[in-house]
Amino acid sequence: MDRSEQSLRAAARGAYERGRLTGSLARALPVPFLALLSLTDSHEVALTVSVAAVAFASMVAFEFRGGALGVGARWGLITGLLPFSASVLGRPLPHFVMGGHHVHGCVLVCAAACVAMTLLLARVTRQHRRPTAAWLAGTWVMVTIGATACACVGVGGVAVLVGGVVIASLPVAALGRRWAAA
Amino acid sequence: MRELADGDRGSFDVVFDGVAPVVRKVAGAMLGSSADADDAVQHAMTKLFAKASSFDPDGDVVRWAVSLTAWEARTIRRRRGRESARSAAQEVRDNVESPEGQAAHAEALRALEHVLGQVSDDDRAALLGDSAGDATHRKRKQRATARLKALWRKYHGQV
Repeated sequence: MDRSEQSLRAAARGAYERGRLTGSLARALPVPFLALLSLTDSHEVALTVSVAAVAFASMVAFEFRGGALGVGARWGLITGLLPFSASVLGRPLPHFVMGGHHVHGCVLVCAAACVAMTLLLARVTRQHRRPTAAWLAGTWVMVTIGATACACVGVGGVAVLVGGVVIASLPVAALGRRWAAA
Repeated sequence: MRELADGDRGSFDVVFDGVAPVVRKVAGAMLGSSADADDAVQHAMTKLFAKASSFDPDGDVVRWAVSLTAWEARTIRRRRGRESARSAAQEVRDNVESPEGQAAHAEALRALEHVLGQVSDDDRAALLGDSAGDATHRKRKQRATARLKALWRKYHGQV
């Protein structure tokens, strides 16, 4: 392989990676808009921005990598809109006392929506060559997008959401795999 | 290409090796084996791979590569045409506008006036007249031109 061939190959490869990065950034653009929407009624600006940054970075990274992660991220963004909306719309809900702790109603609604969407993700990603990777990436993006709205109640809200989803996801994962296989 | 669009980097070399000869062939056919053809290949390949991620899975990659390369080759050809026209105009402008150019221009005009001053009235009329469609006038003009050249050679050397 001569030098010009090598440089052409390197230029093409660089263009391909740059193209993927640009595409990933474009696909992750809804995340900052969702963060802005969440910030309109949030006093936890730093936490909301941090969680949104994690969601954005995850979305870009998964889309850039592509394959199962890219497919999962795309579905995660779509399914993440439900827990996000549930959390934003559920902000007027009263607090609940669970195990001696006050829990915001909106966080519970958001967590419930996340669990439901986890099941849906297991279903929609089942046809991919690597369903588990797609499902995990999708769940991660969905939870971080939901957490962007839950961050308005502080670190506790995000922790309850993430913990709830992780615990609930274990049986949901098993159920989802069986349901997906059906 | 579908795998590459999906992010499978392992299929990059396969797609590159399949597409590069087609792109080279089209660029070579349109621009010859020149540096411009190499430029067209480079531009077409970088554009093709930059957009590989948004490639339509039902699309024809060869047809896409051909149309991209043809477009790049046409763009380069148009750009070269504009550049050469611009540089020719600039050359003329530089020649006329620079002090050396103006001096040379004035010198040439003086020399021409001097030589034309030596030409007979009949020859001058034949040289400045329109000979289109008139064989006799055309012959007279050819003879007057030959005499003018001889005079120029006599005073200023090579024509």
